[in-house]
Amino acid sequence: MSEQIIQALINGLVSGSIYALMAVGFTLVFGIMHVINLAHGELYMLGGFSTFFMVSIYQINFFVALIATLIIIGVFGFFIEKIIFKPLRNASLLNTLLASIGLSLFISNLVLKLAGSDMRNIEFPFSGQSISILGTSVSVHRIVVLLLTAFLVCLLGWVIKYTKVGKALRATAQDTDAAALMGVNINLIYGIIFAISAGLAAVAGGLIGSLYVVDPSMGMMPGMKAFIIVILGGMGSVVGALLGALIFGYAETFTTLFLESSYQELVGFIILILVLLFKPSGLFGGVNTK
Amino acid sequence: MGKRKLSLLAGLMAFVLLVFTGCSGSSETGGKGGSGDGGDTIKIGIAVATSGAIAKTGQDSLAAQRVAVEEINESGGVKIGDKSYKFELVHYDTEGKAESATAATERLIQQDKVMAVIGASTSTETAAMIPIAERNKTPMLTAVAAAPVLTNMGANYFTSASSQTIMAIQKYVDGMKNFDYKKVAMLHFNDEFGMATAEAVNKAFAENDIEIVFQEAFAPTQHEFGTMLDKVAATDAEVIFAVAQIESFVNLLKQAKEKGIKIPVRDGAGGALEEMIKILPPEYTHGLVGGSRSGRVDAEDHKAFRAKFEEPELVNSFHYSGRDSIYLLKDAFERAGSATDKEKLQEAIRASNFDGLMGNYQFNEKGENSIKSITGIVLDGEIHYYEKDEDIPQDVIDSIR
Repeated sequence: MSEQIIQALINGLVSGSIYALMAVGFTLVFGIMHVINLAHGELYMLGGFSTFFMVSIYQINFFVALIATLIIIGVFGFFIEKIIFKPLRNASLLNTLLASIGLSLFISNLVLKLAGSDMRNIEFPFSGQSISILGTSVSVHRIVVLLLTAFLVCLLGWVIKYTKVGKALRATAQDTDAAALMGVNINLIYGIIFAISAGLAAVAGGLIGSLYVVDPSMGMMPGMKAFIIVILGGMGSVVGALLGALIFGYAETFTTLFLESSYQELVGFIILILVLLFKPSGLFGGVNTK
Repeated sequence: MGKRKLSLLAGLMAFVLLVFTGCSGSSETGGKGGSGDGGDTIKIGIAVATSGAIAKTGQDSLAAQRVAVEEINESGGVKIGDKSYKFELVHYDTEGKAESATAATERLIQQDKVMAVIGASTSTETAAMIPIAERNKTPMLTAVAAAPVLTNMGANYFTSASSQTIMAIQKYVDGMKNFDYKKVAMLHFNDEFGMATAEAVNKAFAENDIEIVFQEAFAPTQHEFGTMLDKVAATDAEVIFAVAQIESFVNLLKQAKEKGIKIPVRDGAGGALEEMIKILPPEYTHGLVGGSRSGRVDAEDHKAFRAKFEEPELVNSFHYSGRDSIYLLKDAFERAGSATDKEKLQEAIRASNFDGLMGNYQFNEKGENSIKSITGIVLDGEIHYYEKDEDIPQDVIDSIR
C-alpha cells in the first residue's frame, strides 16, 4: 500500500500541475480582464493538435514542438482577444461569457470538421522508461511533465514579479484607468494576457496529449475542471489557482486510490458545490467584477 | 464599433452558423435523385454521436450507412411492388448524451417523419430512445449499442442489429481458457453497457473457475488511469479485461505501457482493433486480444465493401454493422411490401433471415440476434483474425503470455 501511496502522490502532483497550467491562464484572464473564457479547454485541445502535427507528422523534437506550440497558440490567443473580446470590452460579463461559449463551440466543431474525430498519439522521447523514487518505480514521462509544468509556472511567476511587462500586468489588474494614465498600453497588455493564457493551456494540451491521446473533444473536461479550480482558488487569484489545482489533482487521485475510479469525475463537482455553499469567494478571495 | 470590425464579427458569426448547420444535423440522399417528403423516398433516421468523447463508433457506422445508402440508391433503390424508392438518411448528433439522443429521436419521428430510427452509440443513449420509438410505434434498430438491458426492456419496436454482449461472453471465456488465465482484473465503464457486461462476465467467469481478483468501474469521460493501474499492478492479476469504448481503451492501454505494467490488456467490448493499431505504435498494441465483431473479414464481399473507403485498412466492425443495418432495412421494406406501414415494417424486421457482413441476422421474440464475434490478435502491429470456431495457434499464445 505504501508503494501505491507514493505512486498516488506523484500521480496527483502530475494531474495537479497540468490543472495548474490550465487554471493559471484562466484566472489571469479573469483577474485582469474580467472575462470568463470558456473556450480555454479548446485552446488546450489546439495545443495537443499543434504538438501532434509537429512531432508525429514533421518529426520535430517534442520539446521544440512544445515551445513552438506555446508561441503559435499564444499568438492565436492574442488575436482572439483582438477579434472577439476587444469589441466586447465594455459589455457585461454575461456577453463575454456567451462569446466565449460561441468561440468554444466554433473551435471544437471546426477541428472536428477539419481533422475528424480520430484519436492521435504524440510520440514522447522517454516513453516507457521509469526511475526509482523511494523504492517505487515512477514513469519518466510523468516526471518530465511535472518538471516542465513546474518550470513554466515559476517562469510565469518571475515574469509577473520582476519584468516590466509583469509590472504592467499587475498595474492593469489593480486599476486599469490609473495604469493607462501611467502610460501602460492597455490594449497590448490585454492581448499579452490572452496570449500567455492561451500559450499555457496549449502547452498543457501538448503535455497531456503525449500522456493520453489527442482528439477534438479532449478539452471539454479539462476546461470545465479549470473553471472549477479557479472558483475553488478564488476567481482571479493566481496563488489560489495553483493551490486549487493541487487540491483538485490530489482529490481525484486519492478518490481513485481509496474509493473507486468512477467517483473521480464526481469529486470535482462535489468540491464546487462545497465551495459555493461555504466559501463562495474561493480560498483566496477573488476580484470584484464589473 | 467600427464598420470594419462589425463586418469582421458578422462574417465570423456567419461562418460559425455555417459550420454548426453542417454539424448538428444533416439530411442526405445517397446517389442521384431523391424527391423529399412523400415522394419516392423513404426516410431513415440516424441518431448516433459524431462529436464528443465517444464519437468514433458513431462516425464509423454512419460513414458505412452513407455508403450503403449510396449503393442501394445507385442500384435501383428499394423495390416495393412495382415501385422503386430511394433511401434518404437524416442524421442528428447525439453527442453521447441520453438527453440529446431522446431529443434527436423525437425530432426524427415527429418532424422528419422517418420510417425507422437507427441508434445510438451507447447503451445508455439507446435505452433512453427506446420508449420514444415504442410510444410512436416506429421501428428502431441499433447497430452499435450492445447491452442486454436494451432487449430486456421488452420493447416491441426495438430490435438489436449489433453484435450483442451476450453472444461475446462465451468468446471471452474461451479466450481466457486459451491463454490459461485464471486471475483477471476487470475494468469497465460505469454506464449501462459496462455494468451489464461486467455482470454477465462475472457470472460466466465464475462458472468457469476464472477468478476476478480486482474489479473497478470508471466513467466513459475519464482519461487518467494512472492510480487505477497502480492498484491493478499491486494484485496478482494475469490479465486486464477492459470493457470500454475505444476512446478510453486507447488511453488505458497507453498508460499501462507508459507505466511499465507488464500485465496484458484484453479488449472486452468488441472494440476496433483496426483503429487501435493505427493510433498506437506496435510496441503498445503487441499481444492485444480483442473480440472483433467483423465477421468473415477476408471474404470477397467484405473486401469489396472496404474498397469503398479512402482507408480500407481502417474499416472495422462498426462499419460492417452500420452497413448491415441499412441493407437489413431494405430487405425488410421489400418483404413488408409497404413504404409507409410501420407495423408491417416492424414485423418484417423481426422475421428477417438476412445475410450481412457480420453474419446471418435472425431475431428472437425479444429482438436479439445470434451473431457471434470473432477473435482478433495484434502481433507486431498487424491483426490476425481467427474465425468463430478456429483455434488460436499455440505459438501465438506462447508469444503473448
